[in-house]
Amino acid sequence: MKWIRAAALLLVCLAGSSVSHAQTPSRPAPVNPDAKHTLIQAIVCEDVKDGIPTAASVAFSIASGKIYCFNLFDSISDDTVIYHHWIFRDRPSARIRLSLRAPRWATYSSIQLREADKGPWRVEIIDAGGRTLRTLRFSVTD
Amino acid sequence: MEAIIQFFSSFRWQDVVDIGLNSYILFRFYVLFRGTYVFRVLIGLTMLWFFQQIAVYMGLIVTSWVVQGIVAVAALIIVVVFRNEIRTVLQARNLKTILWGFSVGKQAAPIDVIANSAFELAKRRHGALIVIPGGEGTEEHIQGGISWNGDISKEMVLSVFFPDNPVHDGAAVIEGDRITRVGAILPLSRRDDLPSNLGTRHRAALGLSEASDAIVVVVSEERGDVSLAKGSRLRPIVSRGKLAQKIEEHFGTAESESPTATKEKVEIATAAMVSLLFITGFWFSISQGLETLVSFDVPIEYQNRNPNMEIVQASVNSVRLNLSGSGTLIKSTRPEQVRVRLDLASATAGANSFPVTGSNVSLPPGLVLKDVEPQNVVVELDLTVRKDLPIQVDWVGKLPENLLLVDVAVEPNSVAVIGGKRILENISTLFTEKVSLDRLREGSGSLEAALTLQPASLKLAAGGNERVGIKYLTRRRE
Repeated sequence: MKWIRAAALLLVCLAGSSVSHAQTPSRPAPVNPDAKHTLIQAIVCEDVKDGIPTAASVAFSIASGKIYCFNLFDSISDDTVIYHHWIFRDRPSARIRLSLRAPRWATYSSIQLREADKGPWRVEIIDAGGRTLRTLRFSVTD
Repeated sequence: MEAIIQFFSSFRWQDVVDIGLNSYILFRFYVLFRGTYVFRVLIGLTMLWFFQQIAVYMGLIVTSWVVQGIVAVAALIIVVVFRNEIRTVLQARNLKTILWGFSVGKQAAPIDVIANSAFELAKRRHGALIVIPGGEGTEEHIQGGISWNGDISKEMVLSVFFPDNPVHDGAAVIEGDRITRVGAILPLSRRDDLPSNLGTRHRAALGLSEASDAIVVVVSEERGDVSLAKGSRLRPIVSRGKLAQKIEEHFGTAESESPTATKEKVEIATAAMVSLLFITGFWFSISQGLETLVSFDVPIEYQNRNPNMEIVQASVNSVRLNLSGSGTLIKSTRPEQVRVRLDLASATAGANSFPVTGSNVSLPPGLVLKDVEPQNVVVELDLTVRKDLPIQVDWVGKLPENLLLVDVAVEPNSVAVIGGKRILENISTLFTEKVSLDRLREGSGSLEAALTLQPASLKLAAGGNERVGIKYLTRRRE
């Protein structure tokens, strides 16, 4: 059991590479829109350390500087992708493609916060087939 | 010549009716009130009004101000001071008399007998009141008395008014060749402009003649003279012939018109002509005065909108109408009399362009539409649809450093709204009002917040609550 967790964390570390406004996987994965998977965990948090999300919340201070949307999938039938749609006040802000590898995978994306980002947000987690798997709602405040 | 043709071609049938109707009202006013103080006062006030106009024209500030004040309260003065006269004219007479009142009786009566009897009574200084009804009837005005129905003769009339006769103080009513009632009580005139030497008998004669179309022959006991009350006038009669002539005129049996009758007809015709000229002049001064141009900003009203659609926006909310007309008409025009209506019956979802023309504009008579700015109005309509929207709390403020807001549940978590289809296509979340994080405490708790409907055209579906409950959970940071 320990080796599975260690492998998952290694994969998360490989997947989470920082870009200017978000994080994307380090290398492209082949897309199978019909791949099966189960979303086990989906949270918005202040940080992801060693593949572990920390300080999950629904209200983040702008002083956090960065926030993350962390997902853990299980029972992945085939390599595929998911998308994180970051939406601020009903207006799309970022669309990030993330790879999923069978059989279990953890991944995340993040956004850099700016002063103008205060307000209600949501992240829509969408699979390769365009189905919304989960919507996470949170706010960025003072 | 061309100018005259153009002038008459601009004349509408409504204008002819307008002048004719008001001329007739003025003329009837004269007919009803002539001979009374009311009429004289009205003439005086009219002259005052002209005087005030002249004073304004000449720049006499205080004079015009004072005269204007007098004219302004004149209506009140007339109603208060002459209430009896006005009531007599407007209430006592029937509608036909007020609207078209030259009715005369057609009964044959022994006129000479009446005239001779009256002067014989005068000679004997026996007071008398002889009522000769016209076409209207006098039953509603005369009270009491004794029904008689006796043939009329000079002797009978003399005996009725003989001082020792119990009924001599009342009036005798003559209908045809019979005395139908004796000892009758007549209504007293309420006028206070009658000479003080006239007693109750004369006042009673006038009271009946004012209230009906009857004439009343009055014989004064004190002075031994004969008078005739007709309408609002009481005239002394100096001879039997004159009295007979007046009674003949009353019955319309005079073979040839007397000079007095001719004079009265001339007077009536002159009054009719003056009324027509006065109203025509007044009408022209109002409607055909110097042309004035004016602009009105008029809000646009929409009608016949499909109930399944709503107006999302319009290129303008009001249009500017450039109107022309006489200065008097424009000054008296109220904003609610000028309206612009657009018919949305043919409108479809999306942008619709409507030209604003004279058919969309309603104006008071006499005003002419010169121009409209803008000439086109674009109205954007949208189909009204219903959509369920999830609710999200709009948090503001700051949590204490050591706390994390880990869970929030909104009850209900979604709500149905109604609005334009195109608007709702771009809306996927309904936010609450701003809720301060400072209100939260450690652990769990609940609070309430109102929903924010943006844009304002959105409405909650029936049964929707504008307030939602919020349950939250906070915990200390690890």
